[in-house]
Amino acid sequence: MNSNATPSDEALLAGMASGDEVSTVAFVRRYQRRVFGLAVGILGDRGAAEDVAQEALFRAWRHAPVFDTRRGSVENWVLTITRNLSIDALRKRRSTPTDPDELVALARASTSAPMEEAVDSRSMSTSILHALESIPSDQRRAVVLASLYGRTALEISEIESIPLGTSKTRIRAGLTKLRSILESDVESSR
Amino acid sequence: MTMDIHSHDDFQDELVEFALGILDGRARAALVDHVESCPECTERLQELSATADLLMYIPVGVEPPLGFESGIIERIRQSQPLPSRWRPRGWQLLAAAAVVVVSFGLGWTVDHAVSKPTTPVQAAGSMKQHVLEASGHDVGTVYAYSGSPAWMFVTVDVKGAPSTVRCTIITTSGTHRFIGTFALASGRGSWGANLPVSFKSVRNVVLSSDSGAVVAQFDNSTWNYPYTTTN
Repeated sequence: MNSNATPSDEALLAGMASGDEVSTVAFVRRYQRRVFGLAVGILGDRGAAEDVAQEALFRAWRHAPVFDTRRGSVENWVLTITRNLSIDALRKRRSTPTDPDELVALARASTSAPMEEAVDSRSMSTSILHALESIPSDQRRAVVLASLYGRTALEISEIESIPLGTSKTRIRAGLTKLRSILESDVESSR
Repeated sequence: MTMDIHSHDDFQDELVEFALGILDGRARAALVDHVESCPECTERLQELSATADLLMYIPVGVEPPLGFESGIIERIRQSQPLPSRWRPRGWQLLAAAAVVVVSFGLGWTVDHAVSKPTTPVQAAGSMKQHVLEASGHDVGTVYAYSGSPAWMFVTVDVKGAPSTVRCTIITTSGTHRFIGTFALASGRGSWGANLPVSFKSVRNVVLSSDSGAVVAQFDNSTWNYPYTTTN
């Protein structure tokens, strides 16, 4: 496919909604690596991640007709479906997720490797990794445990062996600092 | 909506936890009540949610195993004419069948429905079941009856949902038709309502809060599982 003729995510969704198989195949090919990668990252189990990724893409196809572009990007929507399904699967299996530090380290190591994701996705990965590495380790762990593994403040307090209040403080401080760093990055790039 | 006696300073932890998707139901409901009347917290929540969403970009893309792509395409192919994943659970069939034989007004709840005198529906129609979703999670079911009169029966369980939800249908022509306001207890509720149009003309059913925020919805365009009622 000519890069100039690459259809937008929204166009592929519209094609899927109308039953066009070419659009469906193109959509699956565009997102399968990201969806499977997110599921593997959260679940740490390729078999379970395959089931989740299949279900996530199936749901994206099923709900393509009602996707509302005003509510965010297609990529964010697909990844949110994947994350929620992964968290559900994690809770059903009662398994231990990948350690947050290992996940971030793996992601950092991978940014130097060739990536097939779109430039925008890679740029976001790099930005959020830089911001994450700029905040204290305990806050980083708390934020990752909450956002990717769906752990509540109480669960994080148990995992990290800290009081609930400390857990809440780390989560709040961590996300707030991430926000500030990302804002500063945007300002400095202008 | 009850009067909000809190200031936005009281909700800073909750805003962060809500943005990360980890706030429990009761706290979530209180926060939603507050945010609806606090522009400052609404803006703050949008900022935090955007940051939280970026965290999904941490894990790198991974090549899926051989056969992954063909597997999902095949599943979609098989699902287009008649999806086979769904099988009705016993209690769902019972609840759905029960409402077929009850008389009803514009809207009713399960408790009311089963206690009212019953009048059999004139013409047996087919019933279809649809998944009700919120943020990718299955949170309930919509049973649609195609007989005369057409009606639907909804069961929902959404953590953090408001105590009442507005139910609206969107037709295939894009027209919005308000169905009614229904009560939820701890996010749970069931009700039925007559439909002003044939269910074939319904594209979406949307449950929303008083402020218009979508609590849950389902799509009627691709996901139909017909079975004929036995009464």
